[in-house]
Amino acid sequence: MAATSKNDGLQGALSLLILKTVAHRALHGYAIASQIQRISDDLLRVEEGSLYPALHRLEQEGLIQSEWGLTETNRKARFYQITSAGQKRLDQELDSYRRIQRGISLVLGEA
Amino acid sequence: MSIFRRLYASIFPDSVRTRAEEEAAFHVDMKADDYIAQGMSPREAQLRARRDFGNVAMMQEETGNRDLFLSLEGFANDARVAWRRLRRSPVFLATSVFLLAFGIGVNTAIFSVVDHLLLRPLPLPNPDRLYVVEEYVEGKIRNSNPARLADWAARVESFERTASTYGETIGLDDNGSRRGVQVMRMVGDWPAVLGLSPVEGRSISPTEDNVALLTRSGAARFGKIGSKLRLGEEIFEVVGILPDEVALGEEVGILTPAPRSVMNASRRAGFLTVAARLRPNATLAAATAQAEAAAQSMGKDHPETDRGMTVKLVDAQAAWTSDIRKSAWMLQGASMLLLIITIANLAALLAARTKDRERETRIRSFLGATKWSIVRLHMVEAGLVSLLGCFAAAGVAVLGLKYLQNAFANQFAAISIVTIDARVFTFVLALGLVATLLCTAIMASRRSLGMRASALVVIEASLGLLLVAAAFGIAKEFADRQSRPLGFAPQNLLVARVDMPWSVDNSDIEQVIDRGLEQFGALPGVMSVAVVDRLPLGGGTQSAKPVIRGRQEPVTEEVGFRMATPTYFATMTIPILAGNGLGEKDTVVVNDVLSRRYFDGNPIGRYISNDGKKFFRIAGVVGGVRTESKNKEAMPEVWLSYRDWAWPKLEFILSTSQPASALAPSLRRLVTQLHASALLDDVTPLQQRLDKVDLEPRRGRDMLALFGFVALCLVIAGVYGVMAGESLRRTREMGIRLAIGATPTNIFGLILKQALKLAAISLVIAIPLGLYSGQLEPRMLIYAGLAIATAIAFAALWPAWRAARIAPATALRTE
Repeated sequence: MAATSKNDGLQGALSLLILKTVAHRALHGYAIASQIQRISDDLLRVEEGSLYPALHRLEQEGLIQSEWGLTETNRKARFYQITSAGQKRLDQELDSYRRIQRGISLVLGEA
Repeated sequence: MSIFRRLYASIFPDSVRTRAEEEAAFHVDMKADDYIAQGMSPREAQLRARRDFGNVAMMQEETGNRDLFLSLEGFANDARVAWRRLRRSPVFLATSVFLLAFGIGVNTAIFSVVDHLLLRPLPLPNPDRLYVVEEYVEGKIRNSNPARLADWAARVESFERTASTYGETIGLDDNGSRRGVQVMRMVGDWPAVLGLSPVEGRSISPTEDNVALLTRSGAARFGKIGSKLRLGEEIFEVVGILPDEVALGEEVGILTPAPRSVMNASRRAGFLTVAARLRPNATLAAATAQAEAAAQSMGKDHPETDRGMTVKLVDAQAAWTSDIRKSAWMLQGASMLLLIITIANLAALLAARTKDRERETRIRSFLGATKWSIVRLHMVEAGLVSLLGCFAAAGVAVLGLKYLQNAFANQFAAISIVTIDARVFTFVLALGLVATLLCTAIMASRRSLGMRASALVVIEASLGLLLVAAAFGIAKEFADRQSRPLGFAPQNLLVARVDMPWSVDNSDIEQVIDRGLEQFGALPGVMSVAVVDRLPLGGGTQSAKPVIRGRQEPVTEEVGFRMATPTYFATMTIPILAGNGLGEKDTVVVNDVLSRRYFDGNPIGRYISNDGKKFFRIAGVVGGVRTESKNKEAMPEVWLSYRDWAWPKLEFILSTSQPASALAPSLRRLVTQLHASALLDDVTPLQQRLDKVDLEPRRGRDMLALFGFVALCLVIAGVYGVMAGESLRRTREMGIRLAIGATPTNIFGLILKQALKLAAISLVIAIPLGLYSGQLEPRMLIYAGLAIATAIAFAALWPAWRAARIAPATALRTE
């Protein structure tokens, strides 16, 4: 399957969001979900049923890594953080996303 | 918790599974805290958070699966997932394992017979040099005798040697009690022809007297080298032990040379099948040419018996298995058809599961599973079902083989050597593998569910039709057989077979019959007693071309010359149609077939002879009785009195209403007093003996009927599955149709029509196929077609009814 997953829009988008969210600091799953929801003004809601599988897949591909840690309230949680491979992938994906976005905008005449 | 899971957890303690559980718990807690912050009660918040998260178990499962695909691409893990999935649908699992067990098991049993008896070379050294010499006169095969057997060996240069055997039941005295044992009498050096030499002791020359060989298993029962066996009136010394193969599967422990009287039998006699071993460098072509020349020279030297004789050398294996060949291949073909139907059905079942699988597959690909890993999972799942099926099939195969051995034991003793061994087992595993691959291909196929399942149902129904037609055909044949008039009444008759050696004097036989008639008749409850040489339907007869005094053209047909006591016809309720029964010396009666064919129905007072020397006056005409089998009309027969025609294997027939068990002890006691070498075989109702004749065709019919029935059930199940899926899939469409004015009857008809379309396609495929095969009667094909069409319509009834009574509103809401 490797890098040919671009045809899967949903999966690609979710991966992109997750990578972006954990790009700057390690976050646990719940925080990732709430952050995406908060930043997008509640427009994007990541369902738990999709979130964790996606996290695990990304980790498997070596794009993020995870470890057990403690939250502010001293609870044990799994924290996810981007890897250098993930960072590279994020940049690529953002790049291509922007290109596509620009293309679409041009076609729609909204540029 | 499954064993796989436990094993897995013990190897990988910090598995993704526990991690997923903890993560989920943490997530739910965090979310619940949020809800509490928004003012919910803790309990409500927890519930809500949990509901948001969805089914935790499911989530675990899916995460766990992902782990399988990506972290450990091990077979055990696929098996674990597949097993878990199968366990979720026990009905499917049980059904498919059962189907496979039956399909593969039956095939294995039949294949083991085919393999051992038809495919493998005989279990003898250099079996390719072993031939049977078949003698033909006027195109008809005939049995040989010791004189010709010796001629073949002497006149055919390519034959190393020739030999033959015949079986005999002889009384063995063992510590004062006497029991009948099967003895193989050898004409020529039988073990040498088979290529066997003694494993212990020595071989014997064909002319030695009073020596015996034992088979290895016979040695366990009868003694060792040097033991003395008291057989009949003689004492035999055991001089050698032979491998069991020498008996070719017959249940025989003792072998002796044929007695002198038999070795000196007339050239007219016919009771041997000659086996010949070619010399190491001889070719079949050369041997055949020499044998043909030998046949001609024998015809010159012995024109009265061998004129016009032709000869054929037949591969020994083919000759010895000819009785079973056709039945075995037919059953193998039928069971193969059944197996294909079974696998098609299994595939249809699997395809029907695809709906639920599609969701899983989507999740899996979403989780990162590659296409290959999904196919692999399908394969492992199908393989798991097949493996379980194969295990269960082994059991079915063992039982099936027992059944077959029972069915054919009468007709073909060598079937007892068949076992289920590594080779056959490999065959089973291969079948399992084929089933696995086919099912995988079907599961992984991208065609629509409906198409796939319909195609499978058509395959099933077409093959099922052929099987059912074959079953109908054989059932009809059997029914015809049963309904044929026998020509006698078997009710209230017991048969006691009294065996004497072939070497016994004719006067002794006459005396035994006289005494037997008198003493058996005096037993309480016995109305009448008769003796005959062979029971009807048993097959075999003494026959000759009769000479009729006053008739110009010679009779070219062999007619039966039979021996009976005068009481025979009345005891068997065979009608005396004209004149008297058997009575005075030198008179005979003939049956109506012979009377019509050679005397225009008026034979009384004419003279007939079997050898042209001694003529008998025809005193009466009796009804014809089917002698050879139920399939063959009564043949022309001449009945001679036991005073004129001696035969040492006596069938005493007792007319009595007493059960066999009541008379057997007294009969046993009386028989020992009749003659020193007389032996009572067993006492059975005549009906039971006749049933034995029917056993093999009956078993054949039962087996095919069972196959046909299973095929019908499979078709019904398959069609039901497809139609139920179809009507479910089209629920919305049905709702719309109902909403815009279709009546439930229309809907009902719609589904039914679809089923009948499948039936029609199957008929169009199968009937020409059946006609083309040439093995199936057109009428039976049509009946089978009707049966299959009815089965399909029947199977579609319930889904159609369910579709018709759906409420439009419900249907429209369905997505």
